[in-house]
Amino acid sequence: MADKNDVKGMVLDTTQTIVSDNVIIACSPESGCDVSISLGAETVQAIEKLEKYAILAGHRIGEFRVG
Amino acid sequence: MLSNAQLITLADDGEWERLNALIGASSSNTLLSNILESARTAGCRFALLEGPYIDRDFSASFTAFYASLFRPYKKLCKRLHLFSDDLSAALSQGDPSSVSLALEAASPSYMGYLVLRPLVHAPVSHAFLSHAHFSPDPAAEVSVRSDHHVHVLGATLGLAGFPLTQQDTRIGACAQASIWMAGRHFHLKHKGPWFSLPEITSSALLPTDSSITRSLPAGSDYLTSDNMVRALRAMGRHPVFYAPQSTEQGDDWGFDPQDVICQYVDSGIPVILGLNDGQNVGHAAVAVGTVRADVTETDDANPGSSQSAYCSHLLVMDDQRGAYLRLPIDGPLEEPVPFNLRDHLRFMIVPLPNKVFMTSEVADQIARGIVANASLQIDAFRSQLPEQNQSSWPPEAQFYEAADGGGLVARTYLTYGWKYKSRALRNNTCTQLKADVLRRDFPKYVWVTEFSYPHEVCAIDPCARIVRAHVVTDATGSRFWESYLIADIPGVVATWDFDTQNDAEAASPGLTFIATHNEYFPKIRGMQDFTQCGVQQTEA
Repeated sequence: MADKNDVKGMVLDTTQTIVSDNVIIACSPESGCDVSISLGAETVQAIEKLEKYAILAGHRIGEFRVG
Repeated sequence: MLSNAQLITLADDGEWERLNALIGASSSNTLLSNILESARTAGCRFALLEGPYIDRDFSASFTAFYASLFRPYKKLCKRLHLFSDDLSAALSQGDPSSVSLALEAASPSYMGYLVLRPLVHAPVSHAFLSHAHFSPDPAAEVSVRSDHHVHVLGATLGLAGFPLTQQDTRIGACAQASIWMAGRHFHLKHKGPWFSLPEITSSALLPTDSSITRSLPAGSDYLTSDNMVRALRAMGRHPVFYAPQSTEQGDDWGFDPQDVICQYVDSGIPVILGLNDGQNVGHAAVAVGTVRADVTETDDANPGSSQSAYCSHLLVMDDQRGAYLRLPIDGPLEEPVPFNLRDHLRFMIVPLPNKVFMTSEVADQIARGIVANASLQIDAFRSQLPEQNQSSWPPEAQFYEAADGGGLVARTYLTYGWKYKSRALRNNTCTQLKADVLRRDFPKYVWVTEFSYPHEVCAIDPCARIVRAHVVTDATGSRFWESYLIADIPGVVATWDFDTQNDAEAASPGLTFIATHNEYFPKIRGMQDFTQCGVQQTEA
């Protein structure tokens, strides 16, 4: 059994070391790559419109009745 | 308490009539006669009738109401079990222990049960019917279902389905029945609280108002949508209410309700539908599944839309008409449901769990926006690659052409973060995605949107469908910050990560460009991995 002092300082980083051999390049700001994927203005507007519909569809109390 | 169990063979008309007489079924009670007719069509050949039987649900109604009446109701019920195999020989043996064993051996033929209460006008206290027996069509999928175990004569019988009840019009109407059905499903599937019909009515009436007290007892004739939301909230759900805006041109929902209903049902969440064909009081039913149309020609598919375009019907639980009934999306009405979705939907209530702060249509929009944004930047992405890789990138270039032209079909559903992770690691997704999924933590719930070409997702068999890309969105996210977590698009795996060590930036993007593209399977309900579809799991 390993002495307890032997395991101090060991960094288990197994999941971080998994890489795919199909990778061409990993892009990040640190590597000088400044492209990213994000929501465009059109999408944000579409979402705002959906949220507006939720507010506009007001109704009187008791209008929708099911029995 | 002494309880008898009658063995009833159902081989011919005479024996079915004998059963009807035993349980008091008549054509005047539509729900019970429809269920028995469906059972017969589904191949029911044997019934076991237990009685007297103490039912927890009717005992609650009896305590809350029927015990207080001048008419002397009793609280004892009967429970009717249905089987597709004839068990009369197996259960007629003299040895008591063999009865229990024979019943358990017959579990695959168990079709479900009905609890019959002593109310002539509303005899079905509740029922749990096997979706596999009552809705066997491979094109019909009961997506909202739970496993249930039934104990009878010392045996434990298992089945899967969705619970059904019948309004008694004294304690509650169809509104309470639909809330009961949704709540009982959450109890069985997710260990939610157990609610009886009187408890639902009581919660719905807090606070009470003049509109609901037009009937006596209050709430027995109908509930308003506000009452229903209050009851669902009391049950621990976080309901989202949808209703159209009234315009001169008619009802304007802002989206296609068919898409949204199918997204929630595909997520395993029942949707309460408020239907009305012009009456003062409408009807509530619970959507629990879909029926796919047999689309074989690509031209019949509907590109640029969601997979609901392939659905011809919803499967609904109707407290007045039966279980797993077909509600047409559009077109002519079909017996026994006198509605279709397009003409008669007036509102819908989705009883979401906690920690879901994004609706399905918003999640769907975000995912489509991510794919569209990636498509817009393909040339910019290509310029980041080494020169020798640029000409052959991206793999599956026609995906981006289809994205630009609205030629992709999206399927959006809610799932647990851990389940998404588990499936992604077992699917045919690329190694880079699996590596990114493995090393990341996910929120409790995520919205997943799968993208496909129209002709690759019209098959009835889910193993025959192909997914080309998917986006995972945080269900607690919003449009105010980047809410997608992972996007797997041909040639690109994109992530957003929180760096807990960095106070300056809350989140940062990551982009990995890969040389190849994988096709993979969609999420398939009931499958933990994809071995049934032919995906070989890597040995440990």
